[in-house]
Amino acid sequence: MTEEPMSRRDRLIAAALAGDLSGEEQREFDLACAADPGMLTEYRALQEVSDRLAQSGLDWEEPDLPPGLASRVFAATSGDSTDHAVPTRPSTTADPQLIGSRPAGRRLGGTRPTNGRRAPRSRVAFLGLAAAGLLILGGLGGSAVSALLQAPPEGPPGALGAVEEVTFPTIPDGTSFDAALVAHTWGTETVLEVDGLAEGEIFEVILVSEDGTELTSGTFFGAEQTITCRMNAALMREDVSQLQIRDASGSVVVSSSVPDV
Amino acid sequence: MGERVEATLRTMSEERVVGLFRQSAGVFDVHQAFAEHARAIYGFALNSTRDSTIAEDCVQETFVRAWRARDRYHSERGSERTWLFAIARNVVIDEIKARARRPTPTTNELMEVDAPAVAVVETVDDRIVLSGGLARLSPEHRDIIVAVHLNGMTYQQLHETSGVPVGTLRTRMYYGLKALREILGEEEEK
Repeated sequence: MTEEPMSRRDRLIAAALAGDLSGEEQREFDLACAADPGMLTEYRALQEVSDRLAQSGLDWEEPDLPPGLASRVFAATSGDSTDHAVPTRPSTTADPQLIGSRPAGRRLGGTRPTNGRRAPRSRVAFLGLAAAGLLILGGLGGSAVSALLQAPPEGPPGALGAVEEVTFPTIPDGTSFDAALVAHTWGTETVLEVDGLAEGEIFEVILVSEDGTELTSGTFFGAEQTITCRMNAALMREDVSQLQIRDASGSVVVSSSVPDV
Repeated sequence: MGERVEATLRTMSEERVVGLFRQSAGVFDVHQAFAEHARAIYGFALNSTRDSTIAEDCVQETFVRAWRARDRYHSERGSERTWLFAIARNVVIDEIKARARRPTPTTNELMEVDAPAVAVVETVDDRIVLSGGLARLSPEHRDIIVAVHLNGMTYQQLHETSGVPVGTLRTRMYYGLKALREILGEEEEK
């Protein structure tokens, strides 16, 4: 079967780029380039790409998605109490500066509390919100609906998905801390924006429960830049009594007692 | 209407309810986006960082950043895939910079001072760009480029293992490289 001229041209370029032309094809390629400068230009443009690939040393893997990643992403982005928010391990969506720091919290292998009373409550709460959303859907314009659906839930401390600001009564000189807790069905998320901590030093974020049990949400390095991070602990918000940040020696840097919920 | 809505909601999963809301509002749907793009983004992150755990974190961070910035996404300015990959690229670069800044334990007191982090970043930057480009290709285009230009296989060898005619493989390579060149051009314009 005779090839279409353009197809033949494309195939010659591809073969030339791979050094795969036979002697006869090489002559055909040279003649074609001589007759069509555009073909030579295109060959050279693609050769830049193939050269870059060859020099990159890339060893490409074609991976499957790790199990559980979807759940963690949906948990980190839900802002509500949907049941898919069940991380198989406590996830840390930290500032990229911190991503590789392996906060201790993620190694805890936190599992969803088996206390069955919470799930029905969150489901009822969610369905209440969903029903309310449906009822007002018809009365709002698209952008208003969009804003409604995208806005994080509001509510008192302990409300699922609501951002609860935390204030530290005393902080070290030269530092600043913006902190918040977010209650989830699978635990409590801590959101931090921190400035002024000693660069390179390790700090640990800890939630203290009412009975004194301590759970690590994660660790981070002090940095010259503002540190923004979100960390999780397998401790339900209603069981949290304090949020603490400690240095590597275990000394408390800042601490805040949070309201009972 | 209230009772009917409530009855309907009881029979639907919560996830489905949320999905319907999002579709009706025409907003960035993280579930849909994850289904369509997460594997490619994970491939990009894994091949850039060579660490599966860090790559997972990069994917999560990418979707979290996208979700937070969803108000600023406009489909008329580019595809969702392009937008997500732009975010992913920043996440991966930030991660590699951070890794370069992190102190590593040494036992040799006379060891030379570490090279500046920026130099480390520059050396890996082209790999990141290329990884991002490869990840955004269709699997067919990526497979042929990886097999020939990274793994050194010939078209004949590929024909023998896959049964696909050599001419078809060459055409696939041509269009794959053209697509990759276009993607790399977009990346470098940023």
